[in-house]
Amino acid sequence: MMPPPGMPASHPTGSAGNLPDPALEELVRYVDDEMTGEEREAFEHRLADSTELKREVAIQKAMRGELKAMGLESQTPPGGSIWEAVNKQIARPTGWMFLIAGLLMYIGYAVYTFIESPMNLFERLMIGLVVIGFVILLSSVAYERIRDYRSDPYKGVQR
Amino acid sequence: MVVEVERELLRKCRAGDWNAYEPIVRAYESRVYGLALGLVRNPDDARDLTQDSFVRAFQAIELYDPDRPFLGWLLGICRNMCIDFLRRRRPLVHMDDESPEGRKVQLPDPNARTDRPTIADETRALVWEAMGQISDEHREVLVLKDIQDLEYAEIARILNIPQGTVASRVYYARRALRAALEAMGVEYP
Repeated sequence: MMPPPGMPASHPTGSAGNLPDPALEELVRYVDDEMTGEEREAFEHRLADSTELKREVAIQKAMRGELKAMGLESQTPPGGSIWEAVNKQIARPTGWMFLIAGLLMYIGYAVYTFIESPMNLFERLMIGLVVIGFVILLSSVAYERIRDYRSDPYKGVQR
Repeated sequence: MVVEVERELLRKCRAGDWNAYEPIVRAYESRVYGLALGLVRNPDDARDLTQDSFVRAFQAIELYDPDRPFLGWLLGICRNMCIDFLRRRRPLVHMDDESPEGRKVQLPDPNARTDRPTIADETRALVWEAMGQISDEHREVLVLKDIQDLEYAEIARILNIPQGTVASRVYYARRALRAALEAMGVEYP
């Protein structure tokens, strides 16, 4: 029997008996209680006359029962509630956003004050060199860290 | 969770109030974790994916259609994340003597009153193992239907397939599970 439309060929079809595809669909809808009252009644009439259908219904119900008995539908995650971790992940980006926005505004204001202040050339040169040196050091450290992380062969190792 | 309460909390979440998200996370985390565990079969990965699903859901809350059950939408996000995870999963280097699938799953036993293993324990362990033998596609539909007990309409929305296809897929998935159990020596009348 060919698998129904949209069904990959990997589905085991050999053990599906001689039931046509619409019958399979009906059968499963009956087992899963997805039929209307009329549909159910009509199906039960056919069920009473077909040993093959009865066997298929029994198989489907047995598998459904085995899975229900697993008790997996609702499980406590290991380590308890995940709320704290979720909260951190939700709240942190907002915190970073405010921090970065505040820093950018502060830097802008500092640059404006530096340009507008009545300092002589020597004072401007000193402050300018300190700031430029700091920025160069900071960016080189950040670059090294990123490069080391990207080339770390053990970053995929989990305990 | 009462629908009106849930709607009000989700409205607050849309307005950016992440504290309103706490009751929602606490109400649904066990269901989402149950789905993730059924799909990826590793408790630690399932926990991470559950966490990421809730974060993703909060970030995409504007896309949520209030006429649809929130749990179904959430489970859809979790299912997609699990599928992505299974596709990109790389072989891991294990630092201890755990099994290749990682920490062993402790299956719950609602009737457990003794430490001695029962026939039910053995059966559930076999079913768990058989679930690992079937394809991801079969497993996901069984987890959604027989474990999470979702209706066909909701499963069809999550998997983006027609309801008729859901029914057929459920049928073949159960047959595949039975075949896997029989291959493991389980006999059915």
